[in-house]
Parts: sequence; C-alpha cells; structure tokens
Amino acid sequence: MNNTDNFLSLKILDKFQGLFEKIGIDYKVMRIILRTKLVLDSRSAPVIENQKKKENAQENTSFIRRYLLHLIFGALLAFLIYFIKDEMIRMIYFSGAFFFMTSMYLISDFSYVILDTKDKKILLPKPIDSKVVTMSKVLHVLIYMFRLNLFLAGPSLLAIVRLNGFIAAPIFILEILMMDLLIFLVTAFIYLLILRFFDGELLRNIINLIQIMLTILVTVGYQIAIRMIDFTEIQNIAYKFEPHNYFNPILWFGAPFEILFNGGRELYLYIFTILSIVIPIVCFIIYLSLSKRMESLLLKLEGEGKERRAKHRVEFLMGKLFAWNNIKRQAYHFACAVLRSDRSLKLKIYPALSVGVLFPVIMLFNMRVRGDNTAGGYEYLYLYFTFTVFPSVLELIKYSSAWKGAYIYYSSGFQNTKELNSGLLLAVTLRLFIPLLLASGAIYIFIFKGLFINDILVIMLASLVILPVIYRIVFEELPFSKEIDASNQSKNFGRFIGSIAIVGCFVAPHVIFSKINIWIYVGVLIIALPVSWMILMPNYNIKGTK
Amino acid sequence: MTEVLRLEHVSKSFGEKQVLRDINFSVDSGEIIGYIGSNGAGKSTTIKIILGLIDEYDGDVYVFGEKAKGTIDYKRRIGYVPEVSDMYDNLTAYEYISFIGMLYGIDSEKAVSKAKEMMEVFGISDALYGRIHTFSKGMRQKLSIVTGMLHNPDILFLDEPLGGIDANSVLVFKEIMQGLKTMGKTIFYSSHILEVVERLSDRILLLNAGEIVMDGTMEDVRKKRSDSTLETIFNEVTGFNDHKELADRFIASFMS
Repeated sequence: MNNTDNFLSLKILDKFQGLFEKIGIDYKVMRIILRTKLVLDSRSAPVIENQKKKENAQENTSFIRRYLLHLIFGALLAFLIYFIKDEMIRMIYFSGAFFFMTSMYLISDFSYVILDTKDKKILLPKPIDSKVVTMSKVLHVLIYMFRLNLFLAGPSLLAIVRLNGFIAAPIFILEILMMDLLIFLVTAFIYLLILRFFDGELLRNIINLIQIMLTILVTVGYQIAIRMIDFTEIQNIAYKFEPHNYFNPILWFGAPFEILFNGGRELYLYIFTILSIVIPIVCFIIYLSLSKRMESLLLKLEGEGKERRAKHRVEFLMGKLFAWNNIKRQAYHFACAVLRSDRSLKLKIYPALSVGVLFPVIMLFNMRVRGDNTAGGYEYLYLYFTFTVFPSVLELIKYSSAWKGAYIYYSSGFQNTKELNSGLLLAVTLRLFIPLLLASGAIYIFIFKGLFINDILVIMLASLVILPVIYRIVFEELPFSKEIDASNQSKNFGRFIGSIAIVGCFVAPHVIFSKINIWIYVGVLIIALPVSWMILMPNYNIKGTK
Repeated sequence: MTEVLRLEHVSKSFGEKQVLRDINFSVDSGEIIGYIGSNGAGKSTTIKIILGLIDEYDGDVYVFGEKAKGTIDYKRRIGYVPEVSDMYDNLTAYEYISFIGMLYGIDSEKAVSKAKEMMEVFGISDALYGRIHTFSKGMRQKLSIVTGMLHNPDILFLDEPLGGIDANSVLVFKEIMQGLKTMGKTIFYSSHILEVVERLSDRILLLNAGEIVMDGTMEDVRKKRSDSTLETIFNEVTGFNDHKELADRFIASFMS
C-alpha cells in the first residue's frame, strides 16, 4: 500500500488514539484494518453510481464525483428549508428528508459492511482481539455516515446558521449525530429482526429492493418530487401538536430550535428534546447488549437456507396458456427464473423500466403546469412514450451476473433459438412490460376516467405487436450471456433510434383510425399479433465460439 | 469397438503462444482415457476444441466419424463437466436443471426427476430448491456432474470432476465410471489427481507443453519405464526432478 495516508478520516481519528487505548483497544491494529477497508471502498464504486465508473478508477477525483449527487440533493434541501418560516416545520422537512436519504443510502451501499461475515473469517484466525474487529466495523460505518452527512446536511447547516446565527450550529450538529445513531441502529434492528424470523435470502432481496428504489429515485423520481412541492404553501404553514407525534422521531428534532429561537414554552417541546437525545442512546445500549446475538444470526447469511419453495402459480399458468411447446415453455421458465433472481440484473432493469411510467406522467404534469386542464383529446399519445423503454430493457436481457454459465449454449449444441427467443420475450413481456403498461394505463384512467379506455387498449395491443420487431432489431446475442458490468459501454444508439422510429410508425394509424373507426384498427392489430410473434421472432445459429 | 473420437494434427495458438502442437490420437467407444499434464499444458484447450467452444484451430477433429468443426449435432451425444463449474447460479438447482433440459430437448419434468434421482445418489437432493450460489464447492461440483450427464451422452468429458467432493461420493463416482464403461460409454478424464487417474483409466494420454509425449495403456507405460507409479512417470516425462531441492528451498525460507 503506497498511498498510505490520504484518508482525512483516519487523521481525525488519530486525535482520539488515547481514548481508544483507554478502553483497551489496540489502536495501531485497528487503524490498519480500517485503512484497508477504506482502500477497498475506494476501489469499488457504490451501487448507484457504478454507471460511468470503471474507466478511470482514480481514487481521489472520484471521491467528489461519488458524492456529487448527495451534494446536489443536500443543496436542494437547504434551499427548501431556508424558505420555511416555522422552526418546527423546517426541521420536520429536514429530518424527514435526511432520515429517508441517509437510511436508503446506508442500506443500499453499506449493508454489506453491517452484514459482513467475511472479515471475521479473515481476521479472527489472526491474533487480533475481537473487540478490535467489532470496533473497526462500527467506525467504518460511522466514517461512511459522516461523509454522507457532510454532503447531505452540510448545506443545510449553512442555511440554519444564516437563519438563526452561529449558536444554532452545535445544536444542529448534535442532532445530526443523534439521527445518525438512530438510523444506524434502526437499520441494524430491522436486519436483526428479519434474520431472526426469516433467512438471509429474504434480507438480500429486501436490500436489493431498496437499491432498486433508490436508483429509480435518484435517476428519475426527483422529477416528480420537485413538481409535487408547492413552494408558496409551505412557506407559511405552522406546526400543530398531536399526542401521537411523540412516536414520530422526525418531529422531535425541531423542538430545541423552537424553544431557543422562537420562545416556545410548551411542555411537549421539552419532551421532544429529551426524546431526541435519550432514545438514540438507549437504543445504542440495547444494541451493544445484542451484538453477540447479532453475530450469531449473521451466520444465517452463509447457510444454504432452506429456500421458501415459492410456487409461482401465475407464472406457471401463463406458461401453460401462452407457450405451447416444450422448449418455448422451458425457455420461458428459465427467463422468468433469471429475471426473478439475478439481483444485479434487476438493479439495471427496474430503473430502466420505471422511466416508462414516468415519461407520460411527466408530460402530463408539464401540461398541467402550463394550465391546460381540459383534456384535448390527444393526451393518450403520450402513452406511446412508454414504448421507449422496450429497446433499453430488451438490450439488458443479454446480460447476467452469472454470464459465464452461457458456455452451456455452446457445449450442448442447442440450436432452437427461435423458440428460445420467443420464450424469453414472453417472459419479459409478461413479467415486465404488461405490468408496466397496466400501470401507465391505470394512471391514465385515474386522471382521465373513462375518456381514453379504447385508446389504451389499442396501445397495449400495438405494443404486443411491436415487441418482436424491436426485439429483432435490438437483440443479436444469446440471453444472459454477457458480463453485466459491461452493460453500460455498449449502448447501441443506432438500434435505439431505429426501434423508436418503428414505434412512430404505429402512432399515425392510431390517430387516423380514431377519426374513422378505431375497431377496424383493433381488428388489424389482432390479426397482426400472431403473425408478428411467429414470423418476426429472431432466429439465428449459435456459432461455435464464445 | 468403434472409433468415436479422432484428432488429426490439431494445433492451436493464442497470439504468439502456441498451446497445442500437432496433437494426434483416436479413442474407441468404451474407453476411459486419462488425460494428464501439468498446469498450462493444454488439456482444457483440447477439450474446448473438441466441444466446439473454441473453433479456430488447425487440423481436424472427428467425433462419431464426422468432422466436428462448425457442426452441432454431435454435441447432443457428448457431455461436459467443466473444471470451474460456471452456472447460472442465481437460479435454484431445479430451475437450472430444467433449463439444461431445454437445451438438450428433454422436457422439464423428466429432466428434474432424472436429476433428482442422481442428486439423491450424491446425497444432495435436499438442495433441489436451493439457490446454487449458496451451495458449497462440493455440492456445486456434484450438481455440475449431474447436469453434464442428464442427456445420456455417449462421450463424457470430465475436467477435474472430483474437486471438493467427499471421499464417499468419490467412491460412488468411480463405480459409476466403471459401470458406464461397460455400457459402452467413452470417458475422457482429465485430472491432476494421478492416483485416481491411474486406477480408473484404461489408457493414459500425457500432454506436455502442448504435445502428446506418451500414449498407451497403463501396462504399456509400466513396461516401457522402470517406474511403478504414474506419478513418478509423470515427473520423469515432464522432466521434473528437482522437487527435493525446491522443497528444501521452501523450507529454508520458511524457517528463516
């Protein structure tokens, strides 16, 4: 390790060397372990942002880039709270957003640290006190959280100081610490609970779900969030106390500010203040007494864990209904199984898919913002934007985290790619695209009531006709046969444009026939559907080599 | 006895490096071939060429009497257990087996019931519904063996098939090999565990630096050389005789 000491966090930690030694921890050893962990962190990008990385793994420049999104979010948050006049409401907005973002990031990026059992396996056979190992783990998580704090809460600190003067700074920082502690502990308790009653697989699935949601939120969700906040209104609302608020930690943290800067004298404010300090500390003490138990539960993560044998009834039924020959059905079930279980693949697919729901919705929002409140009769055309996700999702199907398993296509001499592809497309359609279209359709029905029901039906039918065509354009590889990390480099823009153009070809007849008689078009689509799925399905030879 | 496999003047280089030089041999049905050689001698490359995983090479490979290059049909009759068992390991064993069934044209129920039976023999049928990435190395390997044999192949290519497998199952596995041989199946067995190779194989093919340096039955080999075990022959043929000195060097630095 040549770049020994450019970790600021370690240098700060060095100041507390004496403290650690006082409680019987070998500081030198712990520092080495911690430094190794930090070096490892800097080499692996976090889940959300491994998009552009890889090419330049320059450790220091990437530090800023890695936290850029946090900083943007932190700045937006500061901007928001700066305009809120009520002390309580301001902190409610801040701590709500802070709790949410910090816990999402913690779960998504740092679960592997909380749940790590590997470091015990590596470290404990060496002559190291287990106290040192545990402490290095806690510190590792805390260093991560402090970095997060710096970017998420830093701008808000400036806003608070600007509003209430420098005296507010220490209170704010102390509250942040308490929130960190609470978030870390609640996360750990939830893991503990899940592991106690279920197995490690479920926990991994939940973490994966959170990662997917966070990715969606960071990439597209904020578009909607920003449009939902009504800036003129929140400036002036005032907080009203309700007894059940005692149970909501998000509300506690405004109380000290209300007391100090707004002359609040109500009893509940004092109780809030006490709760905000006492509860995290009590939780911490409970956590320490449970940490032995936690360690033993963590072992569950390594065990095989009797898979809860899910039946997948709907999937099975659909296979029976739509896949009439053996190979197609087997391919369908295989694709379903991979789509269900490959977590890294899911992490790419679902965010890509979410764009499909958001596109039309954002269009509609923009329309509303412009003040058009009456339906002009063509809003259904926005739904065609849902189709833009088809090529990008279908493109992803050739990747897998277990891509090496693809040797079997070659060594088995399998050639029936037409059935393989149609089973695969069936799986993708049923598992991903149909739910997507139903969701977009539901939003339309919610907004426009029955106005566009026929058009939604036509669009769904059209999508089913288009899919094999897009599939044929985009897909030229074997399914799940490419390394998933490579999936970012090879976006084929030409193919993407080509498939969008095809979607465009379907818009025109829809508009024209809706003037004449839409049911003629429905008829045409119904006839085209089997033709498309049978004739246009890609069919190629599997060549010998990998 | 009919010839099932023949390699003629097979050579292969990766860039500058020549991995295989003019390999020639033929194999009859019902033979168990022990294919041995040091690391990097070209064993896995040979197998990959025969299987069609690599199809740019010089020379010809004939399987079941027909040229293999660019053809597919012969693959239905061969099975492969790779050295590193790469699988779609996010899937459960059940799901993976039925996928493999598809590739060989076996319907799901049949593939699974057959595999379950085989897994029971190896004592891992409980794991049928478990995700493969949670398996231990031995369980993975057993599953890899099962899926490699699911389609009743006539030639089996086994690349270090016993890695991580417990002693009892190894015993069962050896019996299976002998049984399959009497059924007329051909087994192409590549391994570094020379004791097993010695006991199992009818014939030894020894590869060194990309060339076949020895080809014959165990008796032939013994007759030609004064040495008694495959291990010593292996050392001699590959020109390795300083193991004592190397060990001493290691110990010297160990003690220092």
